[in-house]
Amino acid sequence: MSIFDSIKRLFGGAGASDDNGRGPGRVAGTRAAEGAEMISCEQALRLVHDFLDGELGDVPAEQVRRHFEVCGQCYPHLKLESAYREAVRRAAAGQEAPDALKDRVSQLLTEARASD
Amino acid sequence: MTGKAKDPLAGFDEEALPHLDAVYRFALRLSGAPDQAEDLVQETFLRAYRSWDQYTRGTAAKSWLFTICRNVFLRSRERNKRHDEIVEENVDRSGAGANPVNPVWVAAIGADPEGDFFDSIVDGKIVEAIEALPEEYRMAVVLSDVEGLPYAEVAELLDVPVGTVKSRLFRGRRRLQEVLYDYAVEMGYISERSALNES
Repeated sequence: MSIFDSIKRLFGGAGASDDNGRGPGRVAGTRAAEGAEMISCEQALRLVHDFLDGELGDVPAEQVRRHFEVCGQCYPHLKLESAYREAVRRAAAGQEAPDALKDRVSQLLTEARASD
Repeated sequence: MTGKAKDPLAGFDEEALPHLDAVYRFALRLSGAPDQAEDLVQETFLRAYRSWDQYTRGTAAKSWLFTICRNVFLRSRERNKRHDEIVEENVDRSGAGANPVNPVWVAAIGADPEGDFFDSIVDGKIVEAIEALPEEYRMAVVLSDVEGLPYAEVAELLDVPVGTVKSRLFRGRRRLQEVLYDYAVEMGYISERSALNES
């Protein structure tokens, strides 16, 4: 699953509009508008890595998600951060070991087993 | 818990060998040289096999193999000492004191808020940029962003606190993002905007 799919899934909870993240309801600079549980833009941007990495710890993911859902200023930061991760994973995670190396490892292990 | 009782390689085949590609990638990023990476992989799997009885079946095999690989690498490097750039980490952990607004994104948002320019960058260029990172940053980025390990496993593997992992990730990502953004501008994948005009 791509990171974009993960984000869509994260934003796809109950009551979330299916606007692919850019609906007309998005507003800029919402730090005080949504009540006490709303985190600030600064907090949201500080937490963007932990949020994407699933490492928020005690911070409720819902609070962070809500902020990015409604804040037009912060949302592109989440998208760009996700696009970066997607690109890095695509570029580097698909690299495979050469077949000759796999054969050598297999042979080494067979020899090690034989000498046990 | 040991997989060695009946067939010493049985558990190994199931749990360790599937990670051979990942260990190779890790070794490649550690050493920066394919032939050295191949030596590292062979030594890693041989050692892993020999200490298979110390591994608890069903736990984090990939991290365990990465740890062995890193230890083998560090030991070999000790022999022909050539240290990478030392990353200073005394200012703050986890980037807590750093500006949370990423200047690269501020520059990119006006022209490409979705980050589509990343799709235009060829894989080889991204790998090259990862390999150009200082070792401490490179390891954190590879283990987290490429291999998807949780912070705690990265911390254990690198033998540093989780805060240090976050700090290295923060700096490594920013540096990599800056390099890739500059490259995209240079190649015309994204038009350059002044950060000042976007805020």
